[in-house]
Amino acid sequence: MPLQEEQFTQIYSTHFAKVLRLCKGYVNGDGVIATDLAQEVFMKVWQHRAEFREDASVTTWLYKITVNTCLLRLRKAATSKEIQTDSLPDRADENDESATEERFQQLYAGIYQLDSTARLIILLVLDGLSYEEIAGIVGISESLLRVKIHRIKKRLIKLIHS
Amino acid sequence: MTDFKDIQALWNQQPNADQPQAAGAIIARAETSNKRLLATHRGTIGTLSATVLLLAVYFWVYGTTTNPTVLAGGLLMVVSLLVRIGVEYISYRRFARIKLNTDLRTCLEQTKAFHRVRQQIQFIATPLSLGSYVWGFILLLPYIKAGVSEGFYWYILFSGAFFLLILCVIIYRQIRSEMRLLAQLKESYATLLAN
Repeated sequence: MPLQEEQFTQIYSTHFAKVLRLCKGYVNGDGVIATDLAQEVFMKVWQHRAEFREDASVTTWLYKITVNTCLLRLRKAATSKEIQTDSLPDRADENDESATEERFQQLYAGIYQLDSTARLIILLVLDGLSYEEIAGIVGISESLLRVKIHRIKKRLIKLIHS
Repeated sequence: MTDFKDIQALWNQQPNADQPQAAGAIIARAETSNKRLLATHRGTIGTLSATVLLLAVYFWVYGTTTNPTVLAGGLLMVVSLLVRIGVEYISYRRFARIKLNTDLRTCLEQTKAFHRVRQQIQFIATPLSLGSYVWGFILLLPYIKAGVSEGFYWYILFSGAFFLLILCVIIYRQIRSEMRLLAQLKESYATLLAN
């Protein structure tokens, strides 16, 4: 049975913040592009509502659309924003709000330096999805995913430190 | 941030943003976007079909089908437009086949297949269609010259050449961006499957 308007509204209000966070992580923390991208995700959700199966997990289905929409965003050149890594702060004051924001920027910049598929995988990890769910979303085996996540984590730590 | 736990902790600290638009507004945008895409597709096919019909009627009504050169010129132009209609139709169908609610690997495979077809269209079908149209037009030029004033003939000739030049630039840009995109998709696919 296709998704009804009421169900869509429910999904939208429950999951918008999570989708936006993932999109923000994908586009180097740019709030405007991320909001645009998150809205595009929910537009796609509505457009594909007829293909939604009641027995499927809403979260997995939504994340599949989010991940694919983010990756295919490369069709629009607007996303390919260069990062100025040399302008990143050296140190952040733990108690300062702006310092926390700077740390977020540092985190986004590190994630952005990963290749697009690695970026999406680590964003799913950060969002707390299980390996089984992530393997289903990206379409690779769980064993391969484990190896990849291990390497991506190591690389991300190195990137953020550098 | 010394290890991944710190990164995770920082990630979890992110504030939750409010929805900038109501669900109803998103639905309305999605519906409009669907309708616009379909209208563009139908509009292109409709315009091309109307041109084919116009050319066919013109050649039929004015009885020029008895002249083999005029007939060949007219047919070449009509065939080129028919090829273009076919290409538009195939392209739209292939695009509709891309499913965003599948896993990333499948979606990448579908998108790669779509852009591979688009590339073949740009490399083979478009030059063939354009070449056939121009050839047909050139065959008809002596007859056009005989039928219109000299000034109008030169206007047709120069505007035609200008239009052709612009079209070639557009096609070149499309091929270039299509190749770049396909390379990026291939790279993403290879990275996803790499051990």
